[in-house]
Amino acid sequence: MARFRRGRGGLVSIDLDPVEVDVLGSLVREVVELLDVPPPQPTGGMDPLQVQLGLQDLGTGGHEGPASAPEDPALRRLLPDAYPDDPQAAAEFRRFTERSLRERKAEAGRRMLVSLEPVQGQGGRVQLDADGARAWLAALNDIRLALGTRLGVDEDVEEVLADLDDDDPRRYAFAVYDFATYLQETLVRSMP
Amino acid sequence: MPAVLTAPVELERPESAEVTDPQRPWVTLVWNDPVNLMSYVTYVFRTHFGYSQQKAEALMLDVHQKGRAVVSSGTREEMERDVEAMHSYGLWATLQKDE
Repeated sequence: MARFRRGRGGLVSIDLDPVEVDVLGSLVREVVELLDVPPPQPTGGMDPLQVQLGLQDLGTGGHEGPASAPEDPALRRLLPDAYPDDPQAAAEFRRFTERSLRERKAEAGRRMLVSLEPVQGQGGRVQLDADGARAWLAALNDIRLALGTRLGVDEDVEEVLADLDDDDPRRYAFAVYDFATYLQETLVRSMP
Repeated sequence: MPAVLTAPVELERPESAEVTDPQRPWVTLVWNDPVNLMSYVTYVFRTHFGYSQQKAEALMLDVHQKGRAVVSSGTREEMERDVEAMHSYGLWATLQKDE
């Protein structure tokens, strides 16, 4: 299985076969799509907290994000509440931080896609400088958070895999998760 | 096999590495989860907070064994910045007034 190694000049590198390039590309594309910043809410979709507080006339401003947590559990895991016991503070924090958090995460994913482009189709070596390695590390982690949430990962994935029947449809997804885990582990250990 | 936060580890329970200071009334908590790798969480604590490898590992083990750990303390604004940074790394972090 492909793994990261630390090379000369502070670069980290990995040799990927064509299937691995495809798998990583589609995983990171899904996460980037998941993170796509939603368009500003139409005036009809007023934030319930604002309504409750009588602040309907304030609007949400040009660059502010949503006040409520995403409904999709995977997205909610990527963008969690900062104040677990204070919905009002959580909503305010989210309004001022969620948009840029989504943008930063999506940017890491897009950097990963750009570095996969040259090896698309035939596979080959991907070399990353320190910035590239940091982007991959963050993107791999977000891939695993999203996939792990969808799969309901709560224990040792290798044990789960060993217990699944050969024709279990979840087998592939768990194997992909396991692959992303292995890549991230070798990348952490190779970080400059 | 890569170790995730909830994987069992056979280590003696270390002394708490938590950081508390009455002059710094807000704290950032990081919570245990089954996805984040122990090595990655340690890396994040070293990289973002500038903690030593030893301190970062002790905090990671606190998260792992106790379910959560205080990883920094300070003003509310400082803790909001830390929580936002933890979220961008993918760690599950919250802030609250120190108890």
